[in-house]
Amino acid sequence: MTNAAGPSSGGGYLQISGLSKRFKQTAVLEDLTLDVDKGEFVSLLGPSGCGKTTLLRLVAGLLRADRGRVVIDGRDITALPAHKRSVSVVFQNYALFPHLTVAENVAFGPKMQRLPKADVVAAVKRFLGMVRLDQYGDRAVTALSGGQQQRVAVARALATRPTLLLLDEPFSALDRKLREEMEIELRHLLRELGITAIFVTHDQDEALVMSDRVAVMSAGRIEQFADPGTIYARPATPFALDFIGLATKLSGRVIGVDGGGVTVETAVGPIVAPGTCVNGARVLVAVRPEYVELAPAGAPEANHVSVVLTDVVFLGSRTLLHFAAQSGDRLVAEVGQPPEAGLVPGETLRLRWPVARTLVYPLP
Amino acid sequence: MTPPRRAAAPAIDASRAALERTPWSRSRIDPMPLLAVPAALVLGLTFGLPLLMLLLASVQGADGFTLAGYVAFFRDPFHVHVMWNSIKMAVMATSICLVLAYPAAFALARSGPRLQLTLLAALLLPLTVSVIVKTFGWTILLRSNGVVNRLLLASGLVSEPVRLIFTEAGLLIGMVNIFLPFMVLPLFAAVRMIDPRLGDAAACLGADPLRRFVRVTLPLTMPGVVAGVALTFSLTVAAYVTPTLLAGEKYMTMSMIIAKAFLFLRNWQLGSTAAALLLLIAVTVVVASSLLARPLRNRG
Amino acid sequence: MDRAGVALSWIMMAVVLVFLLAPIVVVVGVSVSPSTVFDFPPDGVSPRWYQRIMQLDGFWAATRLSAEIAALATAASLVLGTLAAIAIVRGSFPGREALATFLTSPLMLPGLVVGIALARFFRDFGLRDAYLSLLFAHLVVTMPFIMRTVLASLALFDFAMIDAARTLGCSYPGALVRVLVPNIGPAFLSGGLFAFIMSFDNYAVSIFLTDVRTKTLPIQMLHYLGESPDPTLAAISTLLIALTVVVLLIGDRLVGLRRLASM
Repeated sequence: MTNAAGPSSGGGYLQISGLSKRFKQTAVLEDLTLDVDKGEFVSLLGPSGCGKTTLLRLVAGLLRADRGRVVIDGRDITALPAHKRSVSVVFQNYALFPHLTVAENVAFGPKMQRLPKADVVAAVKRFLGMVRLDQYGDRAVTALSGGQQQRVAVARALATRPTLLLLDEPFSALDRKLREEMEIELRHLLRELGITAIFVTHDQDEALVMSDRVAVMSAGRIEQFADPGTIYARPATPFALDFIGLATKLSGRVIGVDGGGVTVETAVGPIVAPGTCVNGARVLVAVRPEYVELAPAGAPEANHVSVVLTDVVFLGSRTLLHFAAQSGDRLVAEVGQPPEAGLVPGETLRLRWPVARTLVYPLP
Repeated sequence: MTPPRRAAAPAIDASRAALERTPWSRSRIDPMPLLAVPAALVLGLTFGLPLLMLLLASVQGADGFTLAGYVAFFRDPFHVHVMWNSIKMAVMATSICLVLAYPAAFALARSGPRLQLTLLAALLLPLTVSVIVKTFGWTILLRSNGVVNRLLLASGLVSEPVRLIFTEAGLLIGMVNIFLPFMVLPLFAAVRMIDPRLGDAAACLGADPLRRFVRVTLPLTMPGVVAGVALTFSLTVAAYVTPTLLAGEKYMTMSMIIAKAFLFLRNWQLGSTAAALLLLIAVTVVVASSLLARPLRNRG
Repeated sequence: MDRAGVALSWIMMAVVLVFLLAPIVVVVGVSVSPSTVFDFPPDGVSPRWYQRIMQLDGFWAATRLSAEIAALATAASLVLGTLAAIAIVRGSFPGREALATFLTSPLMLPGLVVGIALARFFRDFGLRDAYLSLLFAHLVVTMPFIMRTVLASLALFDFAMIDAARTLGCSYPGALVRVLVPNIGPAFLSGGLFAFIMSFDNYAVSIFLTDVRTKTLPIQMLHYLGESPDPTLAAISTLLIALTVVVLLIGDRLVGLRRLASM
C-alpha cells in the first residue's frame, strides 16, 4: 500500500510531497504526499489522532515540517512562516477576536495586507455580503449565534483572497440542520469564488457530501484519495472500508485463483470476488449492504449464504437487516422497504449479492 | 481487489526522487522557552543569584566552608530568644488572622454583588495603603490616651490605661491588622469556588450542618487555607516596619537584628547569618506550601 | 450554612472591617487636627499640616523618585512577565511550574533579606548607582503581582486567536500585540495597579539601596517620623491614602474591583 495520492492531471495546484512531522519521537505524519487541483474541494477524513489537523497546520504554516515540501501554484512555500503564506484558515471554534467588531474582524486580513482604506472597506462589505451578514458589521462577535460566528469566520478568512482555504472541522459545534445548510452554502460560495479548499473532518457524511475528492487518513498516512463514489464503492483498504459506511466483513483463505477472480473459503461458505490474490493467503472479503438482498433459491452466479436474522432497524427511507452466522460473523443488508411479509428475528434467511460488488483485501 | 493503478506512477517516482534531495530540517530550537528567558535571566541575576550568594556568604569563613557564623549565632542566647520571638509572633499573628478571616471570607463570598463590591473595596484599601501609614496610625491608637484605651476604660474592662505601645500585645494587634487582608483574600478566592450544590448533596445524604461543614466545606477550603497561612506566616516572620515602630527594643525580631547589624553595627557576619536564617525559614514555608497545595489541588 | 454560622460570619466580617479601617481613619483624622500632638479624635479642623508639606525637605524629590521607579519597574515587569507567562502556559519544557513559582516567590520572601542580598551583590559587582539598583530591586518586587494575574488570565485565553491572526498575515510578535494584549488587558491593569502601589509603598527592599541623595518616599517618611514627628506625616499619609483611593477607583472603572481582588 503506497502512501501517495497521485494527481489526476499530473502536478496539482497544491503539491504536498514527502511531508513528515514528529512530536517527541512519535511520528505524527510519515512521508505524506497529496496533490490537489485548482478549485478542488478536498476533505481530509479520519478519526482523531490520525494526523489530519497536523497536516492542516503544516500547510497553513503554523507548524514547520521536519521533512518534505509544500508547493502552491508552482511556488515552494515550505520555508515560509504562516503570515507570509497566502493560506487562510477557518478554525474549529472560529477564533474570532472578541475585542473587535464583526467588520473589524473581517477587515483584519486586508489591513495586514496594507490595502488602502477604501479597498479594506470594500472588501469587508463584499465578503460580509457573501455570507449574508451585511447588517451585522458593527456588532460585537460575542453577541452573535454560533452559525453567525461561523459565517464571520469564513468571511474573515476569505477577505484576504487566499490561494488556499483550510477548514478545521468548522461545523462541529453546530446542530445538524444548521450544519447541513452551512455545508451547501459554503460549497456554493467556494465554487463561485473558485477557491481551492481543504476541509478536515471526522464526519464521513460531511466529507462525502461536500467533497470533490476525499483523503481517508489513518495513523499519519493517507489510506485512499479518490472521489466519494469510489471511496464508498471501492475502498482501498479495510480501514477505509470500515470508516465509511457499513459493510459485511468475512475473513477467509484463498482456495482458488482463476482468470476473473478468487474463491475464498469463509466460515459461511465459499465467496467469489474479482481480482487476484496469492493462493492460500488470508484475506478479508466484504460487501456493502445495499448490494445484499434476500435471495430466492437459484441465481447461481451470485454469492449466497444462509444466516439467521438478528435485528431489523428501521431508518425511515431504508431498513437495515442484521444477521449473524453460526461462526459469529455478522452480516448486514439494506432494503428500501421492509417486505410485506414481516420478518421475524431468529428466522434463517438466504442472502445473495453480486460477485462484481464483492471486495477482497489481503490481511497482513 | 486493489484500486486501479493510476497514471500518477511516474509523478510519484519523480516526487520520491525529489524527496531524496530534501534535507532533514536543521533541528529547530523550540521558540517557546525562549520567551521566558528575559524574565528568568533578569530575575535570576537580580534576585536568585544575590540570594544564593548571601546564603553562600553566610557559610564562608577565612578558610572556606564554615558554619562558624551559625554556631556563633545560636550560641548567643539573645539571638535564640529573638528568633523564637519572631516565630512566636508569626504563629500567633497568623493564627488570629486565620480565626478572624475564615468566617469573614464566607460572609464576603456569600454576599450579594453590591455588598460584595463595597466589602472588597473596604478590604483592598487597607491592603494598598502603606504599612508605614497604618503602623503610624496604630502608634496613635495604642497610646495611653488613645482610642483603644479610652474604649477599654469606658467599657469598664480596666480601671486604668493599659500600656500597649512597646509591648508584645500591642505589636500583636498591629501585626494582625497589617497582615489580615493577606489571609482574607486567598480564603475568599477558595470559598468563592465552592459549588453550593455540594452542601445540598451532603444534606440530602443526611448530614447535619456541623457535619456538612467539617466534611465538605472545610476540606474544600483547604487550598485557600494553605495559601493564606503560608503567605501570612512568611510575611509576619519577616516583618520589619511594624515591630520597629510598635515594639522597638522591647520585642526584637530577626528583621530588626538584620537591620541593626547592617545599618548600625556594620557586622556583616551577623547580618548575613541572620538574613540567611530568615531566608531559609521563608523558603521552607514557600516550598512546603506548594508541596502541600499540589495533592490538595489534585484531590479537589 | 446554618443560621448560627451565617450570623457568626457576618459579625466577624464587621469586626474585621472596623479593625482594618481603624488606623486609616485615625491617620486622616490626625492630619486635620490643629494640635502638634497626635490627637484623635481631633479638636478642630486645620489645614496647617498640609501647608507644611510644601516646606518639607526632599518631599517632592522622594515622591517623584518613588513614582518613577514604580512606573518603570511595573512596565518592565509587564513586558518580561507576560512573555514568561506565555512560555509557561503554552510551552512544554520541563520546569515550567518551578519557573512560575520562582517568578512569584519574591512576594513571600522577606523583603529585608532581598534588599540586603541585592545591596551586597550590586556593590560586589560595581553597580554603585542607587537609581539603577532601586530599579532592579523594584522589578523583583513588582514581578509577582504581574505574574499572578497574567498567568491566571492566560490560562483562559484561546490561543487559536493567535493562530488566526498569523494566518491573516500578522507575525507572531504582531499577533501578541494586536490580539493577546487587548484581550488580557484587564489582567495587565489589575496586576499593574497592584504592582505600582506595592512598589510605591515598598520599604524593606529599598532601605539598603538608597543613599543620601536618592530616597524613596517611604524611607523619607520614616526619616521624618524619626526626626520631627508631627502631624505633617499624617497629612502626607492622608494624601497617599487619597492616591490609593483614586487608583482603586480607576481600577474599578477599568476592570472591576472583583478582578482586582483576585490579585
